[in-house]
Order: sequence, then structure tokens, then C-alpha cells
Amino acid sequence: MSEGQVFVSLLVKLGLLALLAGTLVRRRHRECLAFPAYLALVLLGDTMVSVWPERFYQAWFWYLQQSLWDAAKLGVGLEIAFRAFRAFPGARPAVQSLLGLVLALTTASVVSVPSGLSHDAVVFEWHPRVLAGTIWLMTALMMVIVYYRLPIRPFQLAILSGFVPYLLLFVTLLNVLRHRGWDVRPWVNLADACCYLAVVSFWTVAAWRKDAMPAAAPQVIRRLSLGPA
Amino acid sequence: MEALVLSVVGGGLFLALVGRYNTQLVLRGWEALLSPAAFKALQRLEEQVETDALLAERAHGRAQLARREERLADASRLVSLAAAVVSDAVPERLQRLRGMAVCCRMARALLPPPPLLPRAFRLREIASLAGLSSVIQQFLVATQERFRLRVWTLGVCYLVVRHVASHSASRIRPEAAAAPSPWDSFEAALHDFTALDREHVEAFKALLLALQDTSRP
Repeated sequence: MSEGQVFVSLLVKLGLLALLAGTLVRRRHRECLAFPAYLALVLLGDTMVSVWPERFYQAWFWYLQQSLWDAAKLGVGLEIAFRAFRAFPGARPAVQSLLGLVLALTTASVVSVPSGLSHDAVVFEWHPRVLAGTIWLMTALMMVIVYYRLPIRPFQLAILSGFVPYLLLFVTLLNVLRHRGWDVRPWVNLADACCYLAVVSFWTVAAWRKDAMPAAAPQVIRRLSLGPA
Repeated sequence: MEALVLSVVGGGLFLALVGRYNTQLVLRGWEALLSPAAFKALQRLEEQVETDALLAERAHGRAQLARREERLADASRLVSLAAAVVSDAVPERLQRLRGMAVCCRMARALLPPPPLLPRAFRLREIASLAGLSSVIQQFLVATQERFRLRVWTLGVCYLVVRHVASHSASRIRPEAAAAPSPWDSFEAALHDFTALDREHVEAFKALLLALQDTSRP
């Protein structure tokens, strides 16, 4: 890893710590439990790579941590869907069908990749499909929220608004790497770390913000299940 | 490459949706619909509908009296007055129906609205529209779609009533005010206007009740 990469990686870890602290102090974990779990996984994986690079800066560990992170990201999307639609049973079938369809298509697309993949095939074929599926899962969720004009907690919206652009950038960077070759990997890694730092900063501000929920009559907040988490 | 294209399309769509979404506005909309103020609005609407019907019927009754007493100039003036009540009321009704069409998305479980009955109306055009609407309703599964069809049908019926009322009133002139045909169609339009108002209040009430029921555990 280059010095610049190490420095940005350190900033990301500090950002993740501030974000986790904000999530716990402001009790945001009650709005999405999978999110702090995802953050903890990222922090743990990054720390292991930074502390023992010769042992964990390896392809097998990259596969392992990306798979865990992908599962956690899907979990975040599904948990936000569950929480956002808990109070709206009428809209639930729509979101269930749409998310089911996205998950089925993502699974079909991932399974259709032949087994016994090379490292390049995992990075450039298999992984982008999972990321595209995650983007579409969050987009489908947002479509139903906007269609039914459902209220969603600002922190949950911030989580989704951080993930989708970052995942889009990540898929683009993987594509750049595929076309330019592994020589540009340090630059791609640095660009990825900078983007992730920006997203973590955005989430940290959202997590620490005090006036998270716009003012409304208490009975309305209660009925829409938007009361204190 | 396909994954990149899919990600760009999905991400772009997501950003467009987030750009349209405003938590404050959404919450304000729900607050307006779930608060007691919404039921006060229903009460005001019922009063307004009664007043409009009373004004139109009173003017029409006086016009009929004037007609019987052969004061044809008065009859024509009074019937124009009754037509003006209908014409003035329709834009406001249409505006509310448009709002209801949007709000019905927000309702969890609207009670399936009963079909509009053709026999409740006297104008042939409106009875036909009501009949057609009740046939189409049989093919719609979603309650929301049924509600929207009902709102749309009511809107079109209001336009027809306004047209017939204005047209009949303009045909009732002092020199021909004794001729029965425009009087009959005006009377039918007035009757249907009152019937439509009843349906429109019922639809508004159903929407409010459904919204009140929203999010109840």
C-alpha cells in the first residue's frame, strides 16, 4: 500500500469510529441494527489489513470481507424496508414483490457466472453483479417510498443516499481497473478510499445531527411509527 | 459491462427519486390528513354541499313558481341563478377530486367503494357513465384503482352536469320559458348535481376513514 493510501485508510478508520460513536450515542442503531454491524465489519476488516498487511492484504481475505460487506449491505437495505413499511401494511405487498424480484434477479445473475472463477472474473464479473443488485434493491425501496409518499427517518434516508452513489462509484472504479489493467490499482484503491471517506463523513454528520426528525403533531408521529427510536 | 450499465441506470434513478423526496413535505401531508382538522374539513364540506343544494333548489323552486304564474322573465332569471350555483360549485369540486386522487395512494386500505348506481341519476349521459364505471370497476382488483376510477367518474359527471345546467338555463328565455324540455333537463341536472355531491362527500369520508386507519397496529 502507498503512503497516501495508508493515510486515507487511517482517516477512514477514524471516521468509522466517529460514525459508530454517533450511531450509538444518538441511538441511531435502533433505526437500523444492520448498519452498525456493517460498520463494525468494515472497521474490523480494514484494521486487520492495516495491522497485518502481509497476512491479510491477500485475495482470499478480500473475497471474504467483500462477501461479508455485501451481505451486510443487503441486510441494511432489507432492514430499512422492514422498518419503513412496518406501519404501512397496504404498501407492504408492493415492496415485498419488488424487493423479491430484485433479489431473485440478482441471485440468478450471480449464479449464472460459471464456477471455478479466476481472480479477475471474481473482481470484474461476479462482484459488480452483486453491487448492481444492491443498488437496485435500494432504488426499488426508494421507488415504493416515493410512490406511496411514505415518511422515512432522515438517518435511514442518509444511509441509502450514502450507499447508492458510493456503490455506483465503486462499480465504475472496478470497470476502470478492468480496462486499464492492474497497474492502476494503487490509484483506483486511493480513489475508492477517498470516496468512502466522503461517504463516511456524510453518514457521521447525519448520525450526530440532533434535529433528526422534522416537527409534526405527536399523534401523527405515533401513528406513523416515527416516535423516538 | 452490463453490471456497470445497470448500476448507472439504478443509481441515476435513485438520485432522481431522492431529489424528489422531501421528508418535511411528506410528513406535513400526513399530518394534514391524520389530524382532527381533516374531519373538521369534512364537516365544512358537508355544510357547503347542503348550502349549495339549498341555494340551487330554492332558486329552481322560485323559477318554477314564476313559470306557473307566467312571470317568464323572472323564471328565466331565477333559473340562470340556479345554474350559476352549479357552475360556480363545479371547479371547487373538481379540485378536491384531483387532490383525492393523489391522496388515495397514501391510504393503506381504502374500503372498496360501492359502484355508482345508474338509477341514482336522471340525466342519460350521467346514468350511462355511472353504468360504464360500475362495469369497469368489476375488472379492477386494487381498491386504490377502484377509488381512482370513482373519483375520475365523479369529475367527468360534474363537467356534464355543469354543461347541461348552463345549456338548459340558456335555453329558458322569457319568450320560450313555458316550453317543457329545457326545464326538464335543468331539473334533472340539478337532481344529479345533488346526487353527485352526496357521492363526492361519501368518497371524501371514505378516504379520511381509510387514512385514519393507516398505520394502526
